[in-house]
Amino acid sequence: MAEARGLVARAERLDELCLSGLVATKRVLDVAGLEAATVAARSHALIVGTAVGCLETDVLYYGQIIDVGLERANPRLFAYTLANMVLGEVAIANGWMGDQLAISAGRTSGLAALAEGGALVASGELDLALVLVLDVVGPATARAFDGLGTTAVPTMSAFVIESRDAAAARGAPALAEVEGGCGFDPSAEASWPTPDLLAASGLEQVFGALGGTVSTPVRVDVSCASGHTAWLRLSAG
Amino acid sequence: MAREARYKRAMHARITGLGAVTAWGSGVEATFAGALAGRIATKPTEALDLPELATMHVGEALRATAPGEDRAGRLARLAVTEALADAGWDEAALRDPRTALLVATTKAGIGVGQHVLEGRAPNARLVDYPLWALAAGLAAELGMRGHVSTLSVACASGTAVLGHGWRLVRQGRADRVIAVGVDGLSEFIARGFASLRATARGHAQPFDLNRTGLVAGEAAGVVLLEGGAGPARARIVGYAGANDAVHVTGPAKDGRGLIRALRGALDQAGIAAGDIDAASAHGTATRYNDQMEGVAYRAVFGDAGPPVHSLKGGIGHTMGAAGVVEAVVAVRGLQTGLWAPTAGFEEADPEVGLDIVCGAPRELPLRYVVSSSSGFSGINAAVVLCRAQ
Repeated sequence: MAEARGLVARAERLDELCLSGLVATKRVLDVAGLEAATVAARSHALIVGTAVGCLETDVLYYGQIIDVGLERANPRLFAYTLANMVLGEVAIANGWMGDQLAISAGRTSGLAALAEGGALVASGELDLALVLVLDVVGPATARAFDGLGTTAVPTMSAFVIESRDAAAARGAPALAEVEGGCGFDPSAEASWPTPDLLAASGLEQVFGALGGTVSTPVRVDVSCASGHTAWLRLSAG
Repeated sequence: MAREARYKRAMHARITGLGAVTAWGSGVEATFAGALAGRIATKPTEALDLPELATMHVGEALRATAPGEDRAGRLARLAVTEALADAGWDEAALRDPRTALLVATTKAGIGVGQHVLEGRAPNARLVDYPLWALAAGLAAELGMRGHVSTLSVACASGTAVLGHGWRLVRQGRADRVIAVGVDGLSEFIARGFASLRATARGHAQPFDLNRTGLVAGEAAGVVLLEGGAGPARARIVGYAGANDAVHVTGPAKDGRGLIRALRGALDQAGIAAGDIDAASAHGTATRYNDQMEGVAYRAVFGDAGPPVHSLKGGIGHTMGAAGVVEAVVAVRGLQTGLWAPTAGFEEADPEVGLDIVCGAPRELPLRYVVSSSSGFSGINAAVVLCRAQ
């Protein structure tokens, strides 16, 4: 991923989830007109929502254990089997020392992460939450979803959620105000949409609403065969 | 009730139920008794297929499981059952949309995934592999309808889930929270730890001059949280997380992230460093971690800081469960006035420079205690617990 190589010197050593996170972060900072140092100076958190997490790295690492044995398997890969490693890489690249959280809730992972970021800012605990929604679909993921009779879709999205005051102070226009939540439906039945958008489920409506600048409130609901549910309400900023 | 009103009323979260399954035993009292005794419960594996690591110590909380059985799932169900009975929550409470389930883990489900990769379990078992599968299964079994999610910040996950549960209550997003920290041992995990070349020869000796590394363990810990007024075992009054932003696998030598997390948690609790009566450190028994914690704790609490213990010498590093299990022992400590010793600790490392509780439990007038965790990606988390009265 050429774009990521320009962001960190160690790009060759990172897995694709981390590379996606670095690129998505850079892009959203550019769109939001934010400098990394500005974020670092404010109370902030970094959140990632992911449905399949580190499946590709899990398979790669354990495949090495099976194929070449423990002594010759790459120990660095073991660390990258953790879903939050992307947050560490983004923090190092940008000098961000805020809190971090990786959230996984099936197909609702993206909306759940956005809802969490919104709640942290709305509570006054933080000025800013940078929310990543990431899923990498490599050979292992594709194979697993092929077995379910569907196709998995990768995602690399990012959002900046700021307090109204903080955004106003730097003259940034608010695209929308955001509020959301999570729930659970214990009677959910297994069903697999084709294609399966994974953590990006519902984001098309979110981007659609933000692109048109929200004039009337828009509510997005997502449910998952796992039983997870999540909603997000966007209202005029 | 308006969100603002709920927020003001619930600046703390009451701890009303506990559950734990560790290498010390099944149940909170077995775990607390093992902690107070400073018993070393780690030993070479009896449950895993690890011929190349036959002498490596692990902290097994379960005896042999069926091939492909999800050890994390069994551990979590045992601990949740105990906690729900402890708090007396009924079906109506569980089905209330304002009851949340948060599961913290690093790799729950990886044992299942590994067995599929090895061809020892059918592909159909992959439904139990994703990080979120355990929480979904638990929530379905409990008939839950509220907020259900899985959180992961490496080995700080357990402490983070307590903070996140506290936030849900104080932000008025939930009235009750089941906060679970869990990870099961698997060949994947044991081999992964071994590949890092940071594992101990024998048992772990946190903060000890002669320590040789960490020991992988497994456990489940559960803390039930409620908002509002009422009886409690203890309270969560502050939490903060912070990243080193230095290195993804090695802690910052100057302890910058942990210092920030500890100070943030104290600030949220509205107390001073001198108010902390005891601490439960991460204490993995690796030189880098232990010395970093020494630097951070001395920076925040001064050279005459609170007595500190680590539980990892007794049960190993239980990964995503560690922070919750440590909180369970801390809550029992607050209730009894007994701060457990650090199993395996014999000779102080002068570069750590902390007052390590060792040998026997220390009787202390405990009101506020802090528990901290650190993990890969550079994450640090700290939670402040307060005696109920």
